Amino acid sequence: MNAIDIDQLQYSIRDHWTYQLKELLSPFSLTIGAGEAFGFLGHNGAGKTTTIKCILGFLCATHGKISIFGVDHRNPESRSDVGYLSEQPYFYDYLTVRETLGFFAALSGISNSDTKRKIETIAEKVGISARLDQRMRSLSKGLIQRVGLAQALIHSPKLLILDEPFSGLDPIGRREFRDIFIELKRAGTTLFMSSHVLPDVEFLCDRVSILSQGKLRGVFDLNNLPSSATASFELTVDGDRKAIRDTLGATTTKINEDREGLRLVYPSEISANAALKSALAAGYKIIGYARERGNLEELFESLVTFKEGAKR
Amino acid sequence: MSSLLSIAINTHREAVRSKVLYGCLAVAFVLLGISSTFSSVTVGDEIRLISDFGLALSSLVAVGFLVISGSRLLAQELTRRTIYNILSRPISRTAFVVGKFLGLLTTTVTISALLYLGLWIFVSLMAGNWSGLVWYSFLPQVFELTILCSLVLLFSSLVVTPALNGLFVFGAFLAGRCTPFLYAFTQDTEIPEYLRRIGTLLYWALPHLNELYVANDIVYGNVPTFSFIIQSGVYSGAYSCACLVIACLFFKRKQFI
Repeated sequence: MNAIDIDQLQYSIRDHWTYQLKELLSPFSLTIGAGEAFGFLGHNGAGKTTTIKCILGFLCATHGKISIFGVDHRNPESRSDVGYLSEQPYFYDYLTVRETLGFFAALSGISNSDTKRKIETIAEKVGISARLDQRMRSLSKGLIQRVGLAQALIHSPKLLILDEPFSGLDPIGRREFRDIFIELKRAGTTLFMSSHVLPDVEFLCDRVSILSQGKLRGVFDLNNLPSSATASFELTVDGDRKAIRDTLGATTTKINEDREGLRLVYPSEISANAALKSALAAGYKIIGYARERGNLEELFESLVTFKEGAKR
Repeated sequence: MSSLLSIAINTHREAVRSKVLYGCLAVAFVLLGISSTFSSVTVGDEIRLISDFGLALSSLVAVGFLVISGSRLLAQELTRRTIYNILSRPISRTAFVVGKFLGLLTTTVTISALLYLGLWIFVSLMAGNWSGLVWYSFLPQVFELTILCSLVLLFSSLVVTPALNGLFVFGAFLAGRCTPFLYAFTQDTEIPEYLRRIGTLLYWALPHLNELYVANDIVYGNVPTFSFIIQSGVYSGAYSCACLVIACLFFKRKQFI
């Protein structure tokens, strides 16, 4: 059974003054398998949070169906096995951390006898054991994020929906969060992570989808990223640098200079091979010749920038 | 059910930890203390005056707390965005609204009970005997507060602005206490027919809170009958349920952008 099934989800809002519909999410379908770590990528305002709000039922989709573990998302029971960490989690500032976690444990149906033990365990896991009796209003942004993760995990959910989970964290916090997510992934928890911090997503996820201006641009397997759109060839040579620029620089897309020599980037294999032959003929020192594999960042940039450019 | 209770308990906890509650109680007790000085202007009726004033004060302070604290109840959840974490749990929006209602009602009734306790001790000390007469108006006041709590939730689900919500609730309280005047208005044949129809509609739509305010009778020793208590309870329960059903219907349609 899939963790999340999104079928032709569309969300529009009506302008209060003109009464016209503005489409925030164009119809798209998406399936996230159980136990999968899925990255939901997009620039700011792309529609990532709107999609999450539709999944969790905060917003009522204009069209389409969503189910969580096979249960319609409008049924509150569909959220029994869901943990949610929002981008900036907000809590009642008059409660202590212990009371906050106790409150969410009760909302998740955890019995009173189990609550205390669960709170201690989860607080230890996210590193807030020493803060349990502190009021929420006295916590820093990073600590609030940790409490946010603790409340999302307190009922050991099978699906974890994370909206920008690393925001507000220091480098140590980011590493700790990543370790927790890796551990959860190994334990079979489904991770649905929205982010625009690509290295974190690349590190954790199996698949990603890229959303731009409310449209789904594609779904990609991170172990098999398409490279044709972004592939390039890099030739690194050393010698008379001015002469190299003059003889080999005509067809390059980019030239970088460092201590090793000149790094010349070519858009195609033909131009790169021709440059290599010229370099050998001229007697320049060949340091390296490599085909650059496309990475997530390049793919993301190519899809988002291209589409936005096209629209303009 | 446990989720609903958790929300109710948390709502109660929020109110107990706010300064509004203690402010209201302090004002009430200070005014009650002052009432002993001006009661001396009446000859032989000091206790009746203090009881009358104290009961009116208890009612007003409890309603004041309800308006101030209750009108922010749902609006704060939206502005502080705490609602997202709650509704991401397996809890229906109906349970959320009902939980908020129960929490608010519990707090308001607790305040009312504390005010009555203070008034009872004060009146008993002044009179020199421990008469429980003032307690006879406690249950009708609880019924009145139940109706007002449900109105708070109804208006909260309709309007987002706490000030506007508070204004509506206080307006409903004043109008509810003035329904006999509205009835007299509808009986006046010199008034145009359409106005009388609007008046009649309002008369039936507004809660008849004047019926639930029995302090004036109690200070003269006329205690409410058992059948009156039952009827008032049924009326209050039915009116509150109707308001809550409408509140839940509106809240279910709310989009949390």
